[in-house]
Amino acid sequence: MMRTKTDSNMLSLLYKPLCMAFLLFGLFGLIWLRSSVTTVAYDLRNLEDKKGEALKNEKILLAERARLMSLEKIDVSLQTNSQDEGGYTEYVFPDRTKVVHIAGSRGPQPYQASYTTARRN
Amino acid sequence: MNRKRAIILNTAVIFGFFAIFLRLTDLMILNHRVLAEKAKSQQITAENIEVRRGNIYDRKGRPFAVNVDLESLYCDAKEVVIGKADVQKLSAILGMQPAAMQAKFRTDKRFEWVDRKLSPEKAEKIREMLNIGQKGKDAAVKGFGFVREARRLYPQGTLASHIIGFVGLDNQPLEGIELKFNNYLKTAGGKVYFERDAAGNILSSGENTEARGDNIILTIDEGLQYIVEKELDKAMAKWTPASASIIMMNPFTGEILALANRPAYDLNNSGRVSENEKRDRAITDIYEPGSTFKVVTGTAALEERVVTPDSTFDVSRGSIEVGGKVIHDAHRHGVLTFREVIQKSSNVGTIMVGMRLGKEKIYEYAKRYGFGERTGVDLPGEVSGWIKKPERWSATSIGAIPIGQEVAVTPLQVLRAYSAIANGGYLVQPHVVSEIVTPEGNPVYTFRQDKEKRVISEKTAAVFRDILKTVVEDGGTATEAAVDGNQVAGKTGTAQLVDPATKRYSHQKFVASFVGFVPADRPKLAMIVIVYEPKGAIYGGVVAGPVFKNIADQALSYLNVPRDDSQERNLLLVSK
Repeated sequence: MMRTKTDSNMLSLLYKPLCMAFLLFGLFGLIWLRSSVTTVAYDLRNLEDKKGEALKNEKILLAERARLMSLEKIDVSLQTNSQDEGGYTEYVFPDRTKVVHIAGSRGPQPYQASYTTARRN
Repeated sequence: MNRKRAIILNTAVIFGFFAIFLRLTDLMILNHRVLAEKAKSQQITAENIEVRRGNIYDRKGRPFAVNVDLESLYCDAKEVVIGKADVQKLSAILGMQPAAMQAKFRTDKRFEWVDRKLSPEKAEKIREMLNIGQKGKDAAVKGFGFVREARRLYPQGTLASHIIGFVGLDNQPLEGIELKFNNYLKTAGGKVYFERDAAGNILSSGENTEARGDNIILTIDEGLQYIVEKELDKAMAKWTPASASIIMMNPFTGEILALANRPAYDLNNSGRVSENEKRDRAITDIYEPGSTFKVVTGTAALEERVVTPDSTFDVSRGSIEVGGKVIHDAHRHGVLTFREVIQKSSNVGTIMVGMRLGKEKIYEYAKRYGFGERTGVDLPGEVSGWIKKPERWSATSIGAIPIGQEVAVTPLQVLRAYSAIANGGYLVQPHVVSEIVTPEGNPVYTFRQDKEKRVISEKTAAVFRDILKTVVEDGGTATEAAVDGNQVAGKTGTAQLVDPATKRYSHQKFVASFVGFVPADRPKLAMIVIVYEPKGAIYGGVVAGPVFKNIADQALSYLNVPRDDSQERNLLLVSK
């Protein structure tokens, strides 16, 4: 099929507006993109501020937790509570002399052979 | 006519463009630098990178020094216009005198701290009162502002205060690990640049605004440190001494597990601490060790085969004269074996051993154990102590040095010497820092023991260890240091202090000490307890021995160390 002169004119007529539209679209697209990036940068900054605030609180809370979890604090709390109840209790580590040891009956064991006889402490 | 107009219009347009060209040349070429700087200053804002010191942790990662971000209030004195009522309110919140606060506003300074590192509650109250930083509202009182600053916080308070040390208001290091390892803990600051708009809103640059120093991991264990300090406080209450120190160490690695001194101080209130409280006596104070120094005489004699454990010494006279000076035993004995000389801590017997050994050998072994030299512990302020060279010994020295007089040592040096007995004859390097890591967790320093230095043979160490076991058994000087379930090996020391007035040994002032390790055959910890000038009793076995026992009892539980007799009794251990 042969292209007519009228078709060619139509194309050339559309070509220029399309180019213009494309250029304008590109231009506004760029502006929109730029403004979006800037908005994201603002949002990021806000988030960074919030993160900074949260980190600040986290540090304070961690320090407070460390203070409250210290053995000294636990011991003092224990003593205070027991005194309130009319007694006196302090933090004590397990008394090794009172630890119940479970007697082991392991049954017959295989013979053990070794070239090393000397045992070093 | 039209042509004329066209020429005029063309000329005007050309001149117009030329004028624009000239202006642009001026803006873009001639004044480019100045204008670019101006634009930059309007668009770019600089913020200081917030510098944070590294944290300090114990061996199990429990924090001993951390940072918290607090706010500091400043004012621009030229801008401040504040009424009397507001000054009253502000000073009430800050706990300051109104007159002192008013004085801060009378200066011409553009920057003046009102109060620094405020608690979050105080900062919030001030913020509300002055309307600072409230969006959509103008500040009620102009000229004030907040700056965020890091404050060093020590969650454990007084615990391990002499090890950790502290920093000043500007986070400058002043004591302890904070001072010794400042190069790792601190970090460089700098500035970070941000874009900002006409309204002053700042855009994110994605850069980090906080720089953190390296974290330090100590060999200290919070649990053991607490046990030590608790028992030390009890001893202070019971004997009301001038001061006291305890060091607990792993005798094989030199890791200091706990170190405490009294008097001590709260690290969070270090501003009003006296020099007396700040002293880390365990490494900065020297004393005459007394009988604990007999480890040098005893092991040297065994190593040089001058004596055997069964060699006998007649000490029935109860005293010996050396160079015109008479030295007494605390109690009368008859004929003692070498083993009993150490067990009963006979001065006369030990001097006889020392005389057999000779001054050169005593000096040589004292140096081998590191007396008269710094141990090299990684804490600031350690002193070396001293021991006289043999050529400078007086006629009485051979009667004094073998029993721990005329020598000056630190508690840490004595503990290191006994650790050598515990570990089979090696001198260890005491240390409190095991590792330093970056904030990301990468190690930058790991403690490495220098090549082990043998001071005595394994056999001598084993023989002397057996002798030290008898010290806490019946007939020994430290029966109150015995721990139920595990055998203790150790030695008491009761040394006289020199009276500054008479320059002679005092009969009222003593240093009571006990140094030992437990379990004796497979030692898990070595420890020295020193009590300076106790009231009510003077002997190391009476004053320091029970403290050793109480600490060892709890520490062995804490460390899940089984009883010595668990295997003989065919017991399956549930705690190990």
